[in-house]
Amino acid sequence: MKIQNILAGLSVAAIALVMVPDAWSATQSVTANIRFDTPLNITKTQDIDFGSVQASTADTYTISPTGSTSHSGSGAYLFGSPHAASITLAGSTTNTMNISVGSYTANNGVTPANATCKYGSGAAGSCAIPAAAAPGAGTTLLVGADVTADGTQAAGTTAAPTFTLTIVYN
Amino acid sequence: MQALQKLMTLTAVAGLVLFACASDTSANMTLVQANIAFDQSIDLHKNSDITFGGFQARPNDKVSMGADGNMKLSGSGEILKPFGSPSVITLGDARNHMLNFIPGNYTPGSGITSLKAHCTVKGTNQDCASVPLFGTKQSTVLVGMDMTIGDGMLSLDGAAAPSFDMSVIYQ
Repeated sequence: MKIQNILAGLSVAAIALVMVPDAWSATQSVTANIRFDTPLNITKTQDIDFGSVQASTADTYTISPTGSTSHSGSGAYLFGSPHAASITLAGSTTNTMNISVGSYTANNGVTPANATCKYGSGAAGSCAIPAAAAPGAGTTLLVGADVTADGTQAAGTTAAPTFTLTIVYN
Repeated sequence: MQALQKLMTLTAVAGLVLFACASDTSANMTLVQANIAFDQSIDLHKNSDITFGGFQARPNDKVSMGADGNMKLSGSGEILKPFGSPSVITLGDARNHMLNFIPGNYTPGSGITSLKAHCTVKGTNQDCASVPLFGTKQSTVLVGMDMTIGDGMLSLDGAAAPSFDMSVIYQ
């Protein structure tokens, strides 16, 4: 009896051992999600131009995204046709964008600051736009800024301070 | 197991590749340049106002004095002294710039009903009120005017003189 019991036990163990590989394998379906959209494309049509202003005079000159000008000191706009920068954004019809500004860089004693933006038909305001509407086939971003001249600029000289606009899909 | 690991590894690699591709095309930067030029402002100094010569005017007479001071009268009145003094304005250094001369803000008075200014930059024969001129190191602007006498008597004393502005701007 004991030998029979032992043989029976061994048989069960062998059967269980044969079944083990089936229990250890599993199939997991993996889905590779991918979404297709249009790359973001930025085309700068024109830079900001303040025209000619009074030399040798410290002042802060402002141009709005719509091109209106003002200044806060004793300088003056002399001539030229001041205008804001114009940039065309194109890309997704559904994805919003984050627009930000930075890397203000002075040139010839003229320091840029406080860039202002007007995106599409929106109101003019800060260039920090966390959820700008999808640009679609093309939406215009108008950009103005302040520039402060330190008064060391001689007549006949020019300056070209810069800043960077960064646009990222959300 | 090996097949599953391989599949997961491939999926991860594909994900990284897609992520890298997405990073390249979903962000963009552009440099904005704020161009500004500096120049000197226009320096104007008025040395004298307009002074007409003598005349006896009748209502609706038109009296003109050129930038050279010569007077003319159209109407039934009479010129008694044919030379007057144009306004003399000194213009500072405006080299290399086109200048526009714009008379305006005409303010009639003292029996004068209408005014029209005209000017000449000394050394040129052009009417600077109608043609832009090229600036020089120093310019002298001579300003004359036409005026029409009203129906009433001219006020001789105590009345405000008619006036106008002469603006000079860079073109």
